[in-house]
Amino acid sequence: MINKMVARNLTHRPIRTVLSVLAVAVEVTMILMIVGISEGLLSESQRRSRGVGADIVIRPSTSSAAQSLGTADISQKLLERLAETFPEIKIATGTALTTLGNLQTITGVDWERFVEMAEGVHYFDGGPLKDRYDAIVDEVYARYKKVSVGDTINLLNHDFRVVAIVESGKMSRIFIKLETMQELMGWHGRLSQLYLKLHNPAAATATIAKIKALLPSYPIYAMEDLLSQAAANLRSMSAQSINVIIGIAVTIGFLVVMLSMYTSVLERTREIGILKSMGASKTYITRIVMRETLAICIVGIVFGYLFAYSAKVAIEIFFPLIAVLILPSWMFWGAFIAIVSSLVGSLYPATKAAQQDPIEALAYD
Amino acid sequence: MVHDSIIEVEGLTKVYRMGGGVEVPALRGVDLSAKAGEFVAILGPSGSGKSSLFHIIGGLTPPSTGCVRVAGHDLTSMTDRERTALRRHSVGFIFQRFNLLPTLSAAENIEIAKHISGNRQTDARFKNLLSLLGIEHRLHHKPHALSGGEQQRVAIARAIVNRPPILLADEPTGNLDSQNSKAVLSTLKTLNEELGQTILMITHNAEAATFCGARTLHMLDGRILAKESQ
Repeated sequence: MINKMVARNLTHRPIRTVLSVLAVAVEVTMILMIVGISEGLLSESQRRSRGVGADIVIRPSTSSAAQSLGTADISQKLLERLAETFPEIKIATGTALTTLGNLQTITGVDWERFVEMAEGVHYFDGGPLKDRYDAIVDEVYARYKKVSVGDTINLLNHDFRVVAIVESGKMSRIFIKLETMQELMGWHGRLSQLYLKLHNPAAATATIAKIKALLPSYPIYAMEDLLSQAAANLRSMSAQSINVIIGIAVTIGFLVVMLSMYTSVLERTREIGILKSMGASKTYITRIVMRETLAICIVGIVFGYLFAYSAKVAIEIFFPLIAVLILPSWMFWGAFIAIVSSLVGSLYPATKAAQQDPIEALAYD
Repeated sequence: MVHDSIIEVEGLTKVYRMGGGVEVPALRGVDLSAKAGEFVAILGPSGSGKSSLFHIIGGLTPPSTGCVRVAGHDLTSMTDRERTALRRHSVGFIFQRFNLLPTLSAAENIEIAKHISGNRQTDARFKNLLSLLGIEHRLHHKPHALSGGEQQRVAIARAIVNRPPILLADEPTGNLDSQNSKAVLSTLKTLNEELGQTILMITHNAEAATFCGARTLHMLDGRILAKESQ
């Protein structure tokens, strides 16, 4: 019977109900999107790092796992020295990379070595880098920028000819020749990062210990350690901004639900008096208000999921460089946060309704 | 105090405390008793304290001083929770403005009273009563689609669905035309005469009291006058 009354109350004022549902939906959507974008970018970055196929990564002596690289501080000669010194190393290669803004990086590579380390690269069209101003882009970048093999793109204030479109998930979205990058950036003989592939990946820890003895000031990581450290650092750095946005979303949901339920209770003062005259207890009245809130929440959460998935699809279509990952765990937390904030928001209206004097309520117009 | 009465009121006072420490006495020592199955009408002008008496006997507000027993319950020392339970099981209300829940149908308005009292039984006798009230074909309509007389008859059905020992009616015909007034009063009279329902009706209409054959008490300035009429 209470559920029937709750349904009737909610449909009696459809605009107020729709606004409350939207507030909860926006709250859930904001939570899912901010976490989804953060996790999506991290996941995509990790996927591309793993796609390199390296077991060990060596970074400049001044860097850390979380830092993005925009300089080249490692001597290229070190690469040759390592390959000669450590027979455990199967392939050694280095990259020079810089950022282009808009979450894009351009990477200078020794293409043959890179392809060998990555155990092949799938070409959708075209072939390897040959000339000085050749560029290879991945399928996502090509789709986003609408470029095809043979087109010219401007990178670092120079025109490059696209010679291939490759599958995504291998290090970078834009590749140029290592020598060209070093020349354009003034990084002659220097690299941003070294990648080592071992004959036996299980020997990574022992090999790292040996390399560290030779290069004590360089941060040297097993690929999985680097990725997990970088993920932990990035999550820690983004936690504050995520929490602020979640806080804003929760505040919006809380205030709208509280205001909606408060006006609903005020409007139904007389009805509450009628229920009380029939012997409805404070708990009974509170249950009605709380169930209305819960019903609004559940519908709002469902719409929040739909909005979040719609936004994810829209972002993937219009901004393919931004990856969005909607995690089931955060779908649960988003719903939990929305329910708790809404129920807390409806506590005051519910208490006010439960404590109304029946005579005053019955006299209310 | 006579203990075979279903309503016993002795020396009842009610003082409302307004803002600024102002005290307004509404009842100044009311004595009243009603036996089970009796139809009592209380007549009096506005401000005579009729509604305050109605609210106290119905457990909607506590008395200031005095003794009030309703269906065997002493209201004087009752907590809010206990008065709520009294309203749930022992008293049915009929109001001047019908007070049906606008979002529910007539049937649901009756059903909610059953739900609140925890009454899950289907009462065959109650179905006959709906027929007696002449509303069985209007049960699926919402209050706004019912006439005033129909709304009040739904309110009567709601008030007695849990078979409370006492039915309190506050100006039950105050919002009705003469034809509907007569129909509602006839219903109350039938409930009293045929089903033995104890009814306490507040009205300022002496004719209504006479029509129902009620024992009539007169109130003025918060007191019941000595003179009674039948």
